[in-house]
Amino acid sequence: MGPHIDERPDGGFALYIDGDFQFDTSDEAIYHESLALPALCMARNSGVKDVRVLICGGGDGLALRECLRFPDVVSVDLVDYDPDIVTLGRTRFVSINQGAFEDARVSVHFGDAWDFLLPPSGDVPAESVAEYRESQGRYDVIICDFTVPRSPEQARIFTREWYERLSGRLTSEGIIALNTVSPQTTPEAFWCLRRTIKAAGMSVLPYRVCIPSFRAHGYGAWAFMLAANRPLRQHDLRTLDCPIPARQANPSELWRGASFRRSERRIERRMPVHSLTNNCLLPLLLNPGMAVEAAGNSLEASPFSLDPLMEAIPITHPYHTRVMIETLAEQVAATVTQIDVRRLVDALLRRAARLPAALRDELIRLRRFLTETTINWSRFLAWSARLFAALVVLMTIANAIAPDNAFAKGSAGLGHSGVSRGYSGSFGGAGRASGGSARSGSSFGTGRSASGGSFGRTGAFGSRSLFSSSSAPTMRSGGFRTGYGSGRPIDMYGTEYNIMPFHYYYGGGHTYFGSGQAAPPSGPQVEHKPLFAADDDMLVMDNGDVVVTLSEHAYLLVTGGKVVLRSDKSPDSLLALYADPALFQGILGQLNDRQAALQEAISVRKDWLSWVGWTSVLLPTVAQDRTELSHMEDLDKRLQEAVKRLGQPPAGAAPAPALRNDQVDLFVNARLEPDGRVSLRQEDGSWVFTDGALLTPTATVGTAGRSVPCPPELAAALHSVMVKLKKEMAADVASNKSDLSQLNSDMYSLKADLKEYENLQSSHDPGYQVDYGTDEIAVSDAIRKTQADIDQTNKDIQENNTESTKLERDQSRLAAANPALRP
Amino acid sequence: MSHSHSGVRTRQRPNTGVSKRQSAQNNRAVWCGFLLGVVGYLILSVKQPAGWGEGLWALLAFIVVPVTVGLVVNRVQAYGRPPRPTFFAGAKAVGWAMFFYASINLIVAGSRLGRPDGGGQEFLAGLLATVVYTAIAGAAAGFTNLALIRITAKRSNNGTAH
Repeated sequence: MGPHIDERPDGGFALYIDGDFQFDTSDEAIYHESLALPALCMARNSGVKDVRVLICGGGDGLALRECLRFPDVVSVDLVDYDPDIVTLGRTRFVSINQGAFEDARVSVHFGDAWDFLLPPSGDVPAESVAEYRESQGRYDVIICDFTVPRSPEQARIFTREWYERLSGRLTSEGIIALNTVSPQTTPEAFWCLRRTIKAAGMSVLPYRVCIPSFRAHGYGAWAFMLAANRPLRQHDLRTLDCPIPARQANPSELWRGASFRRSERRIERRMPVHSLTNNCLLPLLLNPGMAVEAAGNSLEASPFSLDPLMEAIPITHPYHTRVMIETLAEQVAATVTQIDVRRLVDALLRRAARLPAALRDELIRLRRFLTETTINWSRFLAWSARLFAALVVLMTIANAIAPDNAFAKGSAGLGHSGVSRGYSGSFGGAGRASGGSARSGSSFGTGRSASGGSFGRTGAFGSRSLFSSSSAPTMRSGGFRTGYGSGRPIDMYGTEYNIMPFHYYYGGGHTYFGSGQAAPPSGPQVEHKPLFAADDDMLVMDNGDVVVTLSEHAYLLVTGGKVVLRSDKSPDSLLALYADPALFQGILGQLNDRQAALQEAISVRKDWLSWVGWTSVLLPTVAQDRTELSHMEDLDKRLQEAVKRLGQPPAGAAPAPALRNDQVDLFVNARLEPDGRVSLRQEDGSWVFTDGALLTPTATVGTAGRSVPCPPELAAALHSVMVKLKKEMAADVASNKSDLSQLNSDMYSLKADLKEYENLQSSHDPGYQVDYGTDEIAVSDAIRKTQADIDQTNKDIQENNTESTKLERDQSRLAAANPALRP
Repeated sequence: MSHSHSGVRTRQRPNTGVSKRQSAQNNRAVWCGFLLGVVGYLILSVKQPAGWGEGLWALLAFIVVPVTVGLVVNRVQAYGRPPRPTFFAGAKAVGWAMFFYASINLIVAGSRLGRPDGGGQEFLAGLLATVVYTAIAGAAAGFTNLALIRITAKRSNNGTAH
């Protein structure tokens, strides 16, 4: 498998070799400083001046980095058998090993460390003699930074013979630092190693270190060992004097990890010595808790034979090499060998002995029954086959009827049957825009279809903390199950919104300078809770009234064929507005749309419950489905009531005149005039103008005599609408800019494509086939289609520019509004 | 498991004495019944008139269709069959038809709920409903077939006596 680097978004990474974790950049210094610095310090403390270092393994260059930081190191030999790792050390790891391989003191040798340390009197292979002679000599510090062995071959460099070779290459004051294994998760292997090193005639000092990334990978506390041809004591570690600063490890505190409990040390006595003739380390590593005698013999019998396995595998894909299959088989074998059946049975028997007598008797009876009963396998298989066939047929039919639902991953009900399509279309956000209903797309006040059926100018649920950033909508699944009627409105998706109740009195609105210019009647206000959010800015109240929210404080109450501007700051109506037939038509259309969708949903639930309704006594979900259905039916009734209460505008009522270019639409029948005032169309059809301080009737602009003071609540309500509008315009401008950028990018690509097609046409005949999207068409067709795309994009850009210009103009007009109204 | 038994209990098929011809006839009866059941439930799957309530649906699904199938199975099936195969011939014919009818309808009804997080309980409800409906319809057809076989046998015996 080789090395694998697991990159993290923060720039850090972790190295794995053959699937085994090696280091993580976040805490690798703990490991490498704990490995290298104690040995270097102890060599220095022993009086060694020019320290010669040998590193076996450690091709990543991180242990090398620590050695080179040490002041007295004069040469380092690094021997690693894996050129890939050393290459990584010279490239990818340069930033963390600080370019250690470039140091002149370093000599890198590729090959097996076992061969590199040939004994002087040994049987030296001819090809290794020269290298051996070059590197012949003794070392003051030897660092073994090997990966944990996973095969008998790899375990060779942990044998007694290996440590004897190391010992032979050590100076009298020299010291060896060894990366070992975890004394926590593989204690037998750890103590076996210690015993093996001692058997090689060296003194050993183990110490453990906590490395967070190792713990995170389940390796537990990690351990290193110091070995020397002279006695080593814990005191040596305690008096460690490190001349260089450590980054993450604390060398002066390492001695604390060198204490092991008696119960832990006792394991060593039972452990065998790992040698070439008794390859016991690997079984102990793979099977923590394994008995000693088993460890000694486990490798005698090979866990599997590869050749029959290869013959049995009928795959001849080039990727499926023998090595790959061998590796996989080894992993499987290693996993299987970890299961100690004897221990498992013992543990089961111990647990069984603690069971109550009655239960034990039952189990014994079950065992007897199972052993004595003859199962008719042929009958069992026949029935299984029948059941399987039936399921296949069922799934095939179900998939033919409802393909996505039977097999899709998670998105049920997104419209494969006609009914589902209608349902999701009606409920979905796109339903409003694409429903094909003229009223659905109507936008009262803005004149822009992009608002998707907004009744108030700004789609101002935000005013009631619905879509405001400070209070995001509370998303709950099945809002019709739990949220309905709780005092907070829900929409067709069952999403619950946090909107406070409205308080108003049916005193009716009044007009200024019109027929009903009497003072607004006051009366006891009644609390009305919003029950249903029919649209972005349209609420149906619990009594069937319709409220169109305009801003933070202002809203329109639409009921009984009347439209009244109200504010939550005022107990009385602010103004009776003209009952615009388009507004009523839009509201009615939206209510009818919602009702139709609701009735469809009710029908679906009724159908479902007609099948499974009786299971509600067993399954809470079905009981909730019943609740949901009753809530939907209740809402359906209330929507009918809302349609009734809405009423109709007076006969002969005419829509508002078209918006002039110099006006900005605030909401239905309310406009910002070029002179900075706001015009409002009153109930009687007359227009009234306000600058926030005075109210002036139509055609008497500047006639101070007929003006009356503008109620501060009305000015505040209009101001809040303009504040809301300003925010939305800013968002629209940003969105337009983004769209324009995308359109320009598209245009650039299209022009490039067109040029390329034209070149191709000039060098080939018009029927020459070219790629067009995912199709292959004639180049002449491609030119025609690309030209059409360019034309359409040009049109889109123009529309975007027009809209941006209008938005900017409206923004500047908002900024030029009278000070009392200016947002 | 509450009772104890000392020896090996083996289930032996009763000596029915059913010939190969009778067995083939029995299979044919089951298939005929199954196809008739499928047709019956397909008709029920078509949109029903507005006035039809669940009671009428239950009557058709659990009584009319199974009894009809039981009658057909009885007509096609060989006479002289022991009770158990007789019962299961009718039960299998309608049971499988109802199984498909109920499960497909439930899959569609569940999917129309459009609830991606419906999860396990919806599936359990559907499974439970399918199993129960299959059992009821199967039992109705099985008992019909069984009753008809017995009536026929009684008449046949009476005729012989005369």
